[in-house]
Amino acid sequence: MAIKVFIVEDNEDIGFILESYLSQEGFEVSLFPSVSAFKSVYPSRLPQVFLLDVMLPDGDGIALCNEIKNNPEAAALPVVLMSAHSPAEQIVTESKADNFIKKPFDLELIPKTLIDAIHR
Amino acid sequence: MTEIIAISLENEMDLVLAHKRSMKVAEKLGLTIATQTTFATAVSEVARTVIDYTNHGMLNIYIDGKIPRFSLMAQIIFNSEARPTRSDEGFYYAQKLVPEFEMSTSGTDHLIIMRIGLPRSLKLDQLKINLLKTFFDLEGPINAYEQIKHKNSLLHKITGEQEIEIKREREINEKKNEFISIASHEIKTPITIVKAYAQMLRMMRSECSDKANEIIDRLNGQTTKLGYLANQLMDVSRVENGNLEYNFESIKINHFIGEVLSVLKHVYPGNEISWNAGQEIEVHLDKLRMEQVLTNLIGNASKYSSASSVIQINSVLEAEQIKIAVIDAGIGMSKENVERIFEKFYRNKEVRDSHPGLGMGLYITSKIVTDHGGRIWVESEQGKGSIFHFTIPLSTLSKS
Repeated sequence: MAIKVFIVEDNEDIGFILESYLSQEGFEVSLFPSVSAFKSVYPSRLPQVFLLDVMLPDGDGIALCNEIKNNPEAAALPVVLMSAHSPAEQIVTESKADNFIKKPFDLELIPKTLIDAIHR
Repeated sequence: MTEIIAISLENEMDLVLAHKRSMKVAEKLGLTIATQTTFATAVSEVARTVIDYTNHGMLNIYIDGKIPRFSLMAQIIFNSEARPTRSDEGFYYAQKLVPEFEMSTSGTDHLIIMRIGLPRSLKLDQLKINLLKTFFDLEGPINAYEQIKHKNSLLHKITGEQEIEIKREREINEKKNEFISIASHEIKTPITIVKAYAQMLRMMRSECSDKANEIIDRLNGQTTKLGYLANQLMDVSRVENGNLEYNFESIKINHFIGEVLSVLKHVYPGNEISWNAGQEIEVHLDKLRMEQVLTNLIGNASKYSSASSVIQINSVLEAEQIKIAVIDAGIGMSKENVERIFEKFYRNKEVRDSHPGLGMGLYITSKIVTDHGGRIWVESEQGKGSIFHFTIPLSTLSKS
């Protein structure tokens, strides 16, 4: 069974890279370029894991993560945040996120990070 | 308009000064004694009233106009919350003495201008006016009070200039830090993308020719370096802003060094890395940051020594600390470089062209070591090699 992942990432290239690589690795990827695009699907549909960028054009991943963790129906689902910005790193460690990926990331490690988050 | 003299009006002593100086200017211009006295009295009367209001007044005496019509002008500026009027005693008296008296107010700033027309018979011109100015610039103080006053104002001026200079330097420094911080963040996104594309290409090895695969490997190597540089830049800006963060934990030192070295052996396969472990003991450190220290020192050792030379790591347990040495048989450095090598952005002149680098590594390394409560220093001889020593205290008082 393919693992369903919701990715929120506004950068077109990073979105393309994550989508194509994770699909290739057997994930079922839904990619959203903004919080509003994400909200058109969430919470009526839920994945098995979320991968959220911190800085988004119409919001931020940390707030989104907290929203997911405060929703009883989604709270158990793992959330992985990613960012290149150092203050975000500190904020993320204090957030309810299950894991954090620092950019620039090692692409090959991302599937493992997502799977680990699910099994935790 | 040429300024001849300037006197700040602070206390009674300045009234004497204002009177004497006004007298002297009028005298030097060749005015009659009656006019000299009239002018000087008017000036000192106004000054007296101004001092009643504030001790921060300013008197300037100018020669105004152009050939053939010049006038002797006294300007007094002062600031007062109170409302001075033309009928204040000194002002009233001055108006009776000089032909022209103007007074204006803007908010709490007050300006008084008095003028006496100068007769053509004086045959004044700009050259004479300049000479007059020079005369007063060069003339010594009238009394001890004026001497002290001059020295004081000079000191004030110098202090003021220094303060401005320090402030400007601070601003430039802040701007520079902000720029480094923003720049290192901004380049991270494109680095992330290029690195990921290079990794995707590498996963497609089987579809590519050997030549293409070699290029892909090189591309990967360079993007890793680029990422490393961006992280260093970010560390520099964190050091500057005082927010290099640490996660201290208790670590067995030999186990830790052994782990780091096993990775570094693969990173620097060209050199033999030899490790002489001292007694095992637990220390308090931030693993990632201390790994950065070892990586930097061993990386430098490899960078500045010939291929296949040995890089020796020693650790010794001393009374209060662990002392670690990274020894290379590389090109070494001069005494001047030994002293300056840990400075931010410092690059040794002899290697600036031959070995690339931004001079950030040892600066960050030294910060990490000192933030752990340790010390870092280097012994080196040109042509023979370098030994970088650093210590980690056993009882850690390091900041977290």
